[in-house]
Amino acid sequence: MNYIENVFICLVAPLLISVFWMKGKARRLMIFLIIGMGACLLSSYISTFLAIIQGADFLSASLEIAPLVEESIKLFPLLFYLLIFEPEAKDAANASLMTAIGFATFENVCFLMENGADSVLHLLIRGFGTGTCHVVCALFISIGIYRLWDKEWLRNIGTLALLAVAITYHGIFNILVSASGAIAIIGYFIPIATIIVTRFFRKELMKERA
Amino acid sequence: MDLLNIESIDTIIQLITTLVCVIISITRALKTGKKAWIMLFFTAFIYFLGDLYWQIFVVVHGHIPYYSYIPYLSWYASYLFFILLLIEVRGEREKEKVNPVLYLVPVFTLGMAILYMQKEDYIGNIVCLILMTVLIWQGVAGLLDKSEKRKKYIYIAVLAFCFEEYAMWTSSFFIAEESIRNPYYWADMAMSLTFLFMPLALGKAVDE
Repeated sequence: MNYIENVFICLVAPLLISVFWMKGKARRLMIFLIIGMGACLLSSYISTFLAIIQGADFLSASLEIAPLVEESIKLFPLLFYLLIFEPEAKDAANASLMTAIGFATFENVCFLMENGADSVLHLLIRGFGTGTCHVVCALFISIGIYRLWDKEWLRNIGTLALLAVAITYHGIFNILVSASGAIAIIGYFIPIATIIVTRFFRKELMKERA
Repeated sequence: MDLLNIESIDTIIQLITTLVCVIISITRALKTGKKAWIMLFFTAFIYFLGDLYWQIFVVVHGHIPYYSYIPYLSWYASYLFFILLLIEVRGEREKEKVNPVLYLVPVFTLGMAILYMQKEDYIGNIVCLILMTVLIWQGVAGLLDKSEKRKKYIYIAVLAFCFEEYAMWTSSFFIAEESIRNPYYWADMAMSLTFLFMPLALGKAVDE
């Protein structure tokens, strides 16, 4: 038992308090950060539940079930935001990124609780690798919102299609980092390389549709 | 683990051809800014990722995935992107009279789905049935539209893709043999070549 719910409450409490004092966009972003952390907790419950139902071992669950659950759970708040509030593309894309950052932060906390914090090099690689993977997955969704979908129904279907891109990308990342040695290192660096490449084309990719 | 079996060779060839399609389409997308190229990029990219997931799993863990949700999801998503690509290529259009030939599309796809359901996987077959019906409908409708001659190659390419998918599903329904004699691999190789043809066909449709 690692009492991860207690850690969640402890981490989220000051953030929740800050929400009452913030205004406008900052408040909205903070709420999505908290939602991202909550999504991480919720997806760990659902992944475990599905793994038990399917009779999957820990490795199969983390490679074949977790990416599917994590990316889907991460998307639901965004879909809700898109459908109910009909935000501008920029706001929706930022919400997607903040959810991913909240998710990655809490996932790293879970990792620290289970594995300790004694190897700074490994934590540095893992922290950047996993964190960047979640941000890259959110980026796929953001690019779609910015560039592709000019109609409501297209945006919803298209976002679901991009979810599959995020899930598969995340799945490949998990397979690579589940190996040892050079393959794992390559796995950790793929999201970092992806984000560097996309940074070069940021202007083109994030150009708002006409 | 033997990587020189027909299954791995087939997947590696497909990885190369889809990657070529990915590179050409992202280059064209960045150059022209046209949405159709971005759609083709995502279509090829998600298909490439599905193949890559499968192949990396085999290389790292020495067996195929126990639960194939992720690669199948990515292949289904590529059908969805193909539909979005064709909607983009066809553009806004007024409500028009449906050509009676198009009604053969759901008859065909439903018939094939019923055949495949003999081996269960009901949800997967229903998803394929819906996506393939819409995709083939869009492709045939575009091909039948005489005012869209310049776009006919992209419709032909997408319909060839659908035909190859059905050829693969049908041959794997009847034949399980893992050898070059199995038509499944011929259809899969043909699909790999179709991905190389896609950028040429789309270029003719949207760039000329």
